[in-house]
Amino acid sequence: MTSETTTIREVLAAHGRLSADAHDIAEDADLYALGLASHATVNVVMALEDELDIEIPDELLVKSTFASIGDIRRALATVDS
Amino acid sequence: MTRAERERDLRDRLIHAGHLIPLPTRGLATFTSDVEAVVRGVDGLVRTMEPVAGVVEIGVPPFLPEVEFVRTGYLRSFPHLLGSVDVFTGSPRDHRALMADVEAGNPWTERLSPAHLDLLSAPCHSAYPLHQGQSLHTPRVYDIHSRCWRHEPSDDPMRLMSFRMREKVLIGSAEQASAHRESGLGHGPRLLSDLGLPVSRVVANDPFFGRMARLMAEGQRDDELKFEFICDVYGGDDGGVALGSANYHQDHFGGDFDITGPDGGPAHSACIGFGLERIALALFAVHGMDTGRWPTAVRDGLRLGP
Repeated sequence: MTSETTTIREVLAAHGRLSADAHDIAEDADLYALGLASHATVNVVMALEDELDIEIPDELLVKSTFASIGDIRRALATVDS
Repeated sequence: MTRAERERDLRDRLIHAGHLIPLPTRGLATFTSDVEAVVRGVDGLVRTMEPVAGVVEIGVPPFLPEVEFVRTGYLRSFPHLLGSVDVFTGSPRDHRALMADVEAGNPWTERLSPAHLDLLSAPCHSAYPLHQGQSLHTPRVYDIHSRCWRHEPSDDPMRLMSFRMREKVLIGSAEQASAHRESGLGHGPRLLSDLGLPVSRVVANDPFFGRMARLMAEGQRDDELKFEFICDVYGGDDGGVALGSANYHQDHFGGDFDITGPDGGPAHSACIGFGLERIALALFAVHGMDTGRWPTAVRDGLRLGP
């Protein structure tokens, strides 16, 4: 779980174009308020899929999935299972 | 009647009136004098719509060099709509083989080569490459008319694969681009309602491709980046057709083309665009097939003459 959260933070730092350092923000910080745009979200999705070797199902490819680091982690947990 | 039936009914009435000559390929149409006169009238109204001062009108080819096309991001978001150009670059011997295939009824397009040109999908895409790598200290506003291409074959006369658009695009700061879009949200619908078209302004999204489509559409709608000027052409609950739109791209194109805005950050852009055939055909749908019987104010606005 911890390593997955680290991956999420690294992917957000590399692709999220956030106004804050993704390594330092709170789990429940609003990523959209931090500037996560649609194109960047798409890049985040593709990077997460590559890094974690998963395919995120279509029904999870909605904005609410990527609202915070915690939301992403919880969504990915359902993919892993 | 279903929406599809109403679309075919309008198409049949346009054909019967001699305004539209159907072509064997779905989504392509030839128009005759009355429609062309209305298209010219509408085009003139868009050209003289605010803003006008300081606006540079440019004439552009109906395609983009491949490198610039890829930079626009169109391939990433709308691969299903694109079209590209093939050319013949072979020897006389290759030409003989090509003609032999044609005459035998064999596939022959494999003998062509990509020209690395992609058909223009929106006039504003021609503006950003003009400033690639530049720093803009003042905003630039362009007025661009072009034939556009979107590969979406349909029997709806309002949804053509090859059609004309006129757009006004601003490249500048976030505030300047927002103000340009805001101005278009006022002037755009007014231009259409002055022609007697029942128009409403609604938040919309582009037809994104593939599994990321919902994510992209949600983002575009939540941020209210796209408004369409919808005209009730076909009636009923689903009768609306977008005749134009006002779009705020944020720094999407400024980033893609490495353009710096007046505030030192990536340039922002916004465009106000109109589909000329769509507006013309909406006028025929609303006012009838005989332009001679259209309201005088509408005829005068379009400069259709006495």
